[in-house]
Amino acid sequence: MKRKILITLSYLLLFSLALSFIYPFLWMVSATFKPEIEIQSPNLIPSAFSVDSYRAVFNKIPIGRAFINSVFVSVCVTFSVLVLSSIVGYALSHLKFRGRELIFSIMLFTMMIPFQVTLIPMYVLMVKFGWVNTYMALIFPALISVFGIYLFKQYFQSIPHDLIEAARLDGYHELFIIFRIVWPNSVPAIVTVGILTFMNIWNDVLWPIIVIRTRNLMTMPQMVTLFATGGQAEAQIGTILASATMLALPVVIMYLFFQRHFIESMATTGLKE
Amino acid sequence: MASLQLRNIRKTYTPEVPVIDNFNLKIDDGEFIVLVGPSGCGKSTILRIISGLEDVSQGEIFIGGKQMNSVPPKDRNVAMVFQNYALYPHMTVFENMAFGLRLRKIDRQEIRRRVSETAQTLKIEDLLFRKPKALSGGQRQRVALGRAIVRQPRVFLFDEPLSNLDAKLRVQMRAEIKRLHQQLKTTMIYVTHDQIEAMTMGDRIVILKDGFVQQIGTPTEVYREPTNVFVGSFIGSPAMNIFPGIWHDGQFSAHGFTLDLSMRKVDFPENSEVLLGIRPGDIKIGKSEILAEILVIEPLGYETILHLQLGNESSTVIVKDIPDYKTGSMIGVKLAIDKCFLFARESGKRIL
Repeated sequence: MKRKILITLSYLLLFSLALSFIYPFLWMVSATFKPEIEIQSPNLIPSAFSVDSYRAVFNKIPIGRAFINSVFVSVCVTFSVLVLSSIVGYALSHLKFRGRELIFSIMLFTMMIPFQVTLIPMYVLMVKFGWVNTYMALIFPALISVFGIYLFKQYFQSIPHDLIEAARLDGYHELFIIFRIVWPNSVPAIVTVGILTFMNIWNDVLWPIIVIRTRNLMTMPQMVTLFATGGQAEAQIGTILASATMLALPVVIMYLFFQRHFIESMATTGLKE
Repeated sequence: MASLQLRNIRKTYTPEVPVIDNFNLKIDDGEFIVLVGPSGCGKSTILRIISGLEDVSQGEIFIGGKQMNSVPPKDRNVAMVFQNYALYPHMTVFENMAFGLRLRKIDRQEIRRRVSETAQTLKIEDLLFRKPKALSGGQRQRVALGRAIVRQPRVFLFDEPLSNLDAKLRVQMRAEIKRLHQQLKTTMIYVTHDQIEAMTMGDRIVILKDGFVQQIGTPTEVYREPTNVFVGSFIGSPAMNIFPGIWHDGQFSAHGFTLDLSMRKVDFPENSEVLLGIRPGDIKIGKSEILAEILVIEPLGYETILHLQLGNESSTVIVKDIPDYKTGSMIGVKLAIDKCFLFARESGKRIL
């Protein structure tokens, strides 16, 4: 009996904690379907269902174009990070060469430097290359990720070296081994790096604001931030929340789709964020 | 099929400490060679050097008369069976076996024919569309063998392929590999730390210790004529009994017993420290001046292993059947003088 009460209490506690995390998001989504006058209410169910907030967003800003820009940039960067970081992760975990540990240490060290420190030098480089106000400025600096390399290295170390050597004896070269042998056995790591990279690029505001001026090239977070803070939303909370929901939704859907692999990889690599 | 030669092979990871030093071996076409030795003796490194997975620091490798030092693993036409099978987990048994053939641009029909023939030989036809995780240890080992066989390599390399299997399956697979060798007649190099595997499988055995060859010979040669005390005690199960003592006037004196070896010619300095070696089967139980205490009795059914305290040393004796002895009792032991070995204590080299 006492045990049952304890279990019930712990479930109640967990449920309230989970609710405190999910409630703001649910409220935001619900608020976008409420009439403007009702938004302040903490209720999750609107009294009258309305899509006016979404209509207003589409009328006021080119959110569709921003969505396409964001998808294009995020997909390009995610694909490139997966390919390049896994190649480096493979080299660091399964190839023997002089200076391997030193290179890895230097890479880890760069993770400790905040992005803000390299922001100005990076911007100067973009100006020198003539990439400001182009997709190149959004894509090129993010083509490879040290975090991705780290995660791939850790995961690839769990793949038996004999497997790699068997493929070498079978006659396959290293690139082929990465994509035909290592990748199919590293789905959790690929999904994790993929989701994290996609989320990171999708949500990035600061860098696009610095390098992009033209509306047609703006990404969604940039567009939504400028919309919410630049006065275009005319203080209509419903439209601001609608644009924020549209921004968050793809990442949430993606996470729900791949969460099993994501959790598995976090458990395997011992990584906690 | 191909002959193989390793000339003056030296492998070092740090310049001062060689893992293998001055290793020379000539393997005839179709021969079954076993490299045996304790962990860390360099036997797997030699296999990896032959396959090309490891470079040599010095020396030359010849396969089929051609120098292979700078030839990449894929072009050496050798196949390796790994200790943990190394099957691709995301592929079916068929795909695992066909994987290496596809790169070699072998016709699809031919791939299917080879895989199917090999599967029949290894009795794994029913498993062709299963993934490795759905197979038992023995089945996985067969698939690993199959993957090597379909390649039709010039040399097969086995890196402790049976060490992950249980004892019963190990005996069964041992016989199967031996049968396979008789059938394929391909050069095979087999690495193991198990001297029973070495004795039962190899045409010749190479015994290694600390990166140096101790002896190369047929199983009978290394058993009957060990060149040093290491080979003597490593080959044979139970291991050879070793007694430290003094050599004086044709007699070997150890703590607790003296043995008259004057009938055998030994040219060794008087009062030298020596080691006497005798196999467990060459000690008989019976009326004798030499007495030993029975420590443990291990009945195996067809024979019994007795662990004895003889002088300062513990020793093992094999007797037929299940004798009526009791632990703690004293028995007389007779050491077959013509079967005794003598080794120099310092160098370990055999002197008798």
